Amino acid sequence: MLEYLSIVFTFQSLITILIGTVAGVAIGGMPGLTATMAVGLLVPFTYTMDPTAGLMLLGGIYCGAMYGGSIPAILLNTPGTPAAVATAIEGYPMSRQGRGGLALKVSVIASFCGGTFSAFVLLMFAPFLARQALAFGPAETFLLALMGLAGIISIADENTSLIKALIAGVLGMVIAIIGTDDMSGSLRYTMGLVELVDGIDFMPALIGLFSMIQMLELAGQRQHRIDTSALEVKQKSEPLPPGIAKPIALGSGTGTVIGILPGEGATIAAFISYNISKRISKMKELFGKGNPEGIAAAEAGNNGCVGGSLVPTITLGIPGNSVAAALMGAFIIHGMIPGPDLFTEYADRTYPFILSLFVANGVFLIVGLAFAPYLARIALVPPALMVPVVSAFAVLGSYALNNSVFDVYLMIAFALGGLVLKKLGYSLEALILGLILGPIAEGGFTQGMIIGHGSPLIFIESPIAKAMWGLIALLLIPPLYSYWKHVHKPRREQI
Amino acid sequence: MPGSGGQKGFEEIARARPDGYTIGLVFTPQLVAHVVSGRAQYTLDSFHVMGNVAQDPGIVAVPKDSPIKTMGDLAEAAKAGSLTVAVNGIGSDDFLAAKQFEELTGVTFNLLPTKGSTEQKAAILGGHVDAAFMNLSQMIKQHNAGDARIIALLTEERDEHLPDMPTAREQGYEVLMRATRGFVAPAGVDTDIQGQLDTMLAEIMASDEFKANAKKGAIFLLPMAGGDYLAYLKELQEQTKAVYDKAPW
Repeated sequence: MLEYLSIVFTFQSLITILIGTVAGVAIGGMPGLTATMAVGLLVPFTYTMDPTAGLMLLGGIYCGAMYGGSIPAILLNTPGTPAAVATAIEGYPMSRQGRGGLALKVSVIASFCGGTFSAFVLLMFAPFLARQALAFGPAETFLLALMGLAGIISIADENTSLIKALIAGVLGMVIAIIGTDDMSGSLRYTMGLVELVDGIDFMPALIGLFSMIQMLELAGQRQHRIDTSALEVKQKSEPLPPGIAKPIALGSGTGTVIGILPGEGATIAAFISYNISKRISKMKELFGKGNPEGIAAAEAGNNGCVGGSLVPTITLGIPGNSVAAALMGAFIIHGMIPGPDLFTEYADRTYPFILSLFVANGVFLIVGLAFAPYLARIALVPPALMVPVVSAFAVLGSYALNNSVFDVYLMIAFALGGLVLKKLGYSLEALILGLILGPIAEGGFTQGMIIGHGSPLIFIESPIAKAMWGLIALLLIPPLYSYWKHVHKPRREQI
Repeated sequence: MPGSGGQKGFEEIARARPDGYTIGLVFTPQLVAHVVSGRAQYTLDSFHVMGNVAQDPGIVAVPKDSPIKTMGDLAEAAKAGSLTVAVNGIGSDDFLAAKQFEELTGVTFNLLPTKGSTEQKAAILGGHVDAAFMNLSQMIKQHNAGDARIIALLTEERDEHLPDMPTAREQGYEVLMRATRGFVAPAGVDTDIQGQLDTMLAEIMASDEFKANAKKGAIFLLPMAGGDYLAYLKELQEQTKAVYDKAPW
């Protein structure tokens, strides 16, 4: 192991990791630029690089981008990645209270813990865990998506408009129906447009629903209301809130486990750990109004996915998500086909790569902590400057995803439609959750039904499935009960 | 261009300005499957075919502890009870190969369409399905590591990368499928430029550096000149049409 460490701690490697990580933070922070895109674009560049250095660069981008998504989520309510939507729910209110600096600090520390824990798991237990994850089939994927969708309930009882949150979630799933049905190959609601054959990409939706709407609202405000006095005085002295360790530990564990399972994990992981931490928190009533515990859980959760998603990628060649799939491409062009060979024949490349993930986490921790007080001031930028800059990035980002002008129109349509829904009190977080998780749930459900030869018993037979149903019940029943009490109590008083 | 079984990308090449600077990568059988299923706005005439570069033989894979060891076992097991068989989406090479096998043996599989080889791999390695029609490059490492078992190659000849693996034809089942990956330009490119493009591709294919890189990246080369590849595509379109007419998707 020492010889692998010596590969990581050379000047050249450290510089490579530093560049990758800082670039990753910037990419994750800009709406429309995603880690998948950055890694995918850079894979050909690593072709001429030393393989180990190339992988370290890409690993740094992956780690950095997953954290970077939380910065605009907290400061501007414009999550850079879907996985940071839960972070925005808690982070933006904190920003408005002038506690943005603290929110950023919590986010970077939680991201570091989640990322480091998952890298540790990857280093120590990868082959063993990858085998366990294989027991997780389509039926279980369906249940996992359900667990993620349970997050809609937790978004809802802030505003007590459970019905509206559910409607928004269903609307998201309905929009997700558009495109090719993977199971039959038939086209659904594509209206003859080739652009819709693949369905609606969730990135234009995310940019439209969050970045653009936020800018439209900012532009519509006469005065920029942020409590600046608190920002000047309080932010440097405010200590980390007590009890923050629990949601971080919870998020790290949840994120790593969900990351190992195949499928788009980071969004689900962030929402599930956010949801669970809310259930077990002593300060439930503060959730939705700027609770650092929520940020801690969500960020530890999505960064936990980084190491987790690489577990099946490098041991079995089954990428845990789209970024991991792009990274796998980099392994393959250097002749490192995932499998046991990576830990024997190519051990002198694989282990330094895994170790470099620890360094990358350390890099963004230092960078994040050092810059948090300055970044927090972004919230003070006057709307006249902020709105055009972010809007330009929103248009650029939507276009750049698929080089498609259609996606720009789509983004604008989401912004306009979303603004109306938001004004009517419908939760856009629920909508994006439905849009992202709907297809995962649908795929898992139909595949489960096919594997089960048409019998729904497959969804309850396996021990994993039973445990998951238990968790879903835990996530759903207490909030529904308190909602029921909340709705019925005032009526009785009236009588 | 991602997704939609390549259709978006194929349409884009077909519509591109024929100045010789825009060329595109196509892959079969999806290229012709979209034409046959009536979904494509392009036809083979929309392209100037430059030539083929690589191929990936079709295979049949089963979980490592499956009792199915040969294509004969597969046919018998499918007759005895419905087998769940994972294919890459509808209209893909795997799907067409599975349909060929059904046609040949008279069995009906419980076909499980997936969103790609990643899901197929997970389903086979986790034992969630009984078999999968896939491509060699997707499973060769797992086969060699003993995590899954390939039971047949779906090509005319054995493959140098797995010389001990018998073909389905050797086992008495005439199921043939391979994925090819070639380059095309939009139709209407100036004939001089066409010639230059074709020569360029042929020169790259012949260079030792390219061959060495392809080997490192585990890409199986299958050089075919433009004319030969076009003929191959036309024949493939006929075969695919025959399958489609019997059982449209």
